[in-house]
Amino acid sequence: MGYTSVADRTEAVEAAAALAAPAHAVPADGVSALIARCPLLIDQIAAECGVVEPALCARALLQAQGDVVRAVSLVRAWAATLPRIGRVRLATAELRAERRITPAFARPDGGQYLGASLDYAQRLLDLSSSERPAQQNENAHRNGALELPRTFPSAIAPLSDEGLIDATPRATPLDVTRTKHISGRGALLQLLARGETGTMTALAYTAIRGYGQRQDPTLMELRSGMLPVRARRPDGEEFVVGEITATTAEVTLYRLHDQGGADARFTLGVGATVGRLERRAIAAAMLDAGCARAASDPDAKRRPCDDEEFITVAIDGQEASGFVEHLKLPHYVTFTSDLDRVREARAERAQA
Amino acid sequence: MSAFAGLLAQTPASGYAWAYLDEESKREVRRALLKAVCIPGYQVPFASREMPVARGWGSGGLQVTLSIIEPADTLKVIDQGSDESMNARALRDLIVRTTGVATTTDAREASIIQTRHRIPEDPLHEGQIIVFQVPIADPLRIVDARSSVTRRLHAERDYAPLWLYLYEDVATKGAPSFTHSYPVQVEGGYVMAPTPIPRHDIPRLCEAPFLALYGAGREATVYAVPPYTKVTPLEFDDRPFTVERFPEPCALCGASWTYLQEEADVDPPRYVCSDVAYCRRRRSG
Repeated sequence: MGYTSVADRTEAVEAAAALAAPAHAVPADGVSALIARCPLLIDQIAAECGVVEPALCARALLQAQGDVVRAVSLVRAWAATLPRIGRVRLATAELRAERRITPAFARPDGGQYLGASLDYAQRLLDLSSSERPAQQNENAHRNGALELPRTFPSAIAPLSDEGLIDATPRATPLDVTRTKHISGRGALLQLLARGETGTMTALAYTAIRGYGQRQDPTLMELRSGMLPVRARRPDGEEFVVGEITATTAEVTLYRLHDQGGADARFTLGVGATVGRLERRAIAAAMLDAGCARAASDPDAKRRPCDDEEFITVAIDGQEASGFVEHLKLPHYVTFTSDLDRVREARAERAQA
Repeated sequence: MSAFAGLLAQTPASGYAWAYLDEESKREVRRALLKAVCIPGYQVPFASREMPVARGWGSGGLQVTLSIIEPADTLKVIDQGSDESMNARALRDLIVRTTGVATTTDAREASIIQTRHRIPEDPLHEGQIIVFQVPIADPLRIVDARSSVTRRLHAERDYAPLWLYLYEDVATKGAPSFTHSYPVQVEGGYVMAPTPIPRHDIPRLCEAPFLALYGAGREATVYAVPPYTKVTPLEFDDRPFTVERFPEPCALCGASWTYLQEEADVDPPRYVCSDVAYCRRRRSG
C-alpha cells in the first residue's frame, strides 16, 4: 500500500507506530535508571525543553526511543498547555559552585576548583566486560569531597574595574514562548538557553574557526553547581522554592581591531544553561559575545555566527528538525507544479 | 618490542599498540613530517586520526609525538609552560602508559618536548625536538576562513592580504592587532602560524638549534621548522616587532627576561614565571 493513501486509512498510522515501538517492554525502573545513568543526557533534554523536570524528561526520552529532538518536542508540547502561574527569579551570582575554572587566569582571586569533570580523562573506550561497581564511585566521592567556598568573586571584576571590558547592554528577561515579537538581547539569551546544543556548538565553532569577524575568544570563567530558584509570595516576600543544577560561562573577545575608533578593550558574552552542560554554556557565551561585537559595528558584513537574526532562526532544534523532516510529507501537488514549469521551459527552448 | 610487552601488560592501556597508534598511522605521520622538514613552514596535509583526547586538546601534537617517539627518548610535556597543568599531565600519562619512556621536567634533558603555547625558557640544544600543539594552522585564516582560498594564496606566495591586514592595523590602531600567534615568515618563503606562543617566544624560534614540529589534529596538517632556520615576524621596517612587557620581574625567582603570568589570589597580585620548572630550578640554586 503506497503511503499516499495514509489519509484514507487511519489504521495505517497506528500500524506504523506499532511497528516502530520497541520489541521489548521498557522495564519499570527505566525512568530512574536513565536519570541515574545518563544525567547529562537528561540535562540536555531539560535545557533544550526549557523544562527542568528530570523524571519527565527521562519519560519523554524513553517514549521517543532515544530521539532527543522528539523527546524535547513531547515535553515542550506538554508544557505549552500549562498556564504560567507566576515568575521565579534566578540570579547566577548566587550559584553555589561545585566547580569553578578560569582558563584566562592561572591563579584568580578565590581559586580554581576542578570539581567533577571528565575533561582530562583519556578517551579510551572501556572494553572490559564487567561494569564498574557503584561502590568505587562512592569512595571517589568521599575522597574527593572538598568544601567549596559559598561564593566566588567574579574573575573578570578587576578587568572591569580597569575599564577593559565593554559594558554589556542590559537584557530584559523575556518568555519567548509567550511573546509575539522576538528580538533584542533578552530574547537572544532566552533562545540560547533553549537552543539545540549541537547547533549552538557548530555555530560557535565556525566563529572560532575564522568565519565571521575576527574574535579571538577566551573563556574567562566557568562555574557549575546548584542555583537557588526564588519565587515571590502574594504578600511580596521572596523565598527559595528549590535548586536546579546550572552552568554559567563568561567569554571575552579581544578587540583592538574594531571599526569605529572605540578604545581597545574586550567584549563580554555570557552563557547560562540548565544542567552540567559546559559545552552548551560556552557556546552560548561565544554567540552572545559575537552578536554584541557585531552590534557595535552595524555596517560590518555578518556571518551566521555573529548574525543575531540568523542565530535566532537556526538554533531552535524543534523548528529546524521539524521543517527538515517535513519533507517526508507528501509533496506531489507542489512538485507537479515545479515539474510543469521545467517541462514548459524545455519545450519553449526546443521551439526557439 | 618484547621488553615493553611486559610493561604494557601491567597498564590499563593493554590492548593498544606501542605508542598507541598503529604502525601504518605512524608511518603516514612520519612521511608527512619528512616532507614538512624538507619544505619549512609548508602545511602538509595528513589523514588525522581520531585520538583519545578531544579535538583541540592536543590531538595533533599527540599524533606527532607518538609517531616519532622511541624507547630511549626522554619526554617533557608542558601546557602554558607548566609540567603540572592538567592537560599536560593527561597527555604525558597517555604517552608514558603506551610507551614506558622516561620523563623529565628539565627542558635541557628532554629529547622530545610536547608543548602548548610556550617554548621553555632554557636554551635548547641540537638534537632536541619540540612538538607544538596547533589550534589554527593557517596564518591566512584571518583574511579568509576557506582553506580552498588560503592554499592557493600560499602556493602563489601571495601574502598581500596579510600585509594589508597588518598595514591597516598599523594605520588605524597604531600597532599590529596580533597578540600571540603572531605570523612569521620562514626563510623568506612560507608564512606560518608559530602556534599561539606569545610574541616573547618568537625570536627564540629563529635560527634555533632544535627541530620544531607542529601538529594540527583537527585541521589535519603538520608543518616544521628545521634547526638553524630563519624565522622572522611580519613587520614593517619603520614599525619593529615588539614582545610583551611586564611591570616587574618574577616575584619568585627575580628573572626579568622570562615570560610572566599574573597571580591574583595573593595580595597584592604578583607576576611569576610561566615556565614553572625553570623558575623552580633557579630558586633551588
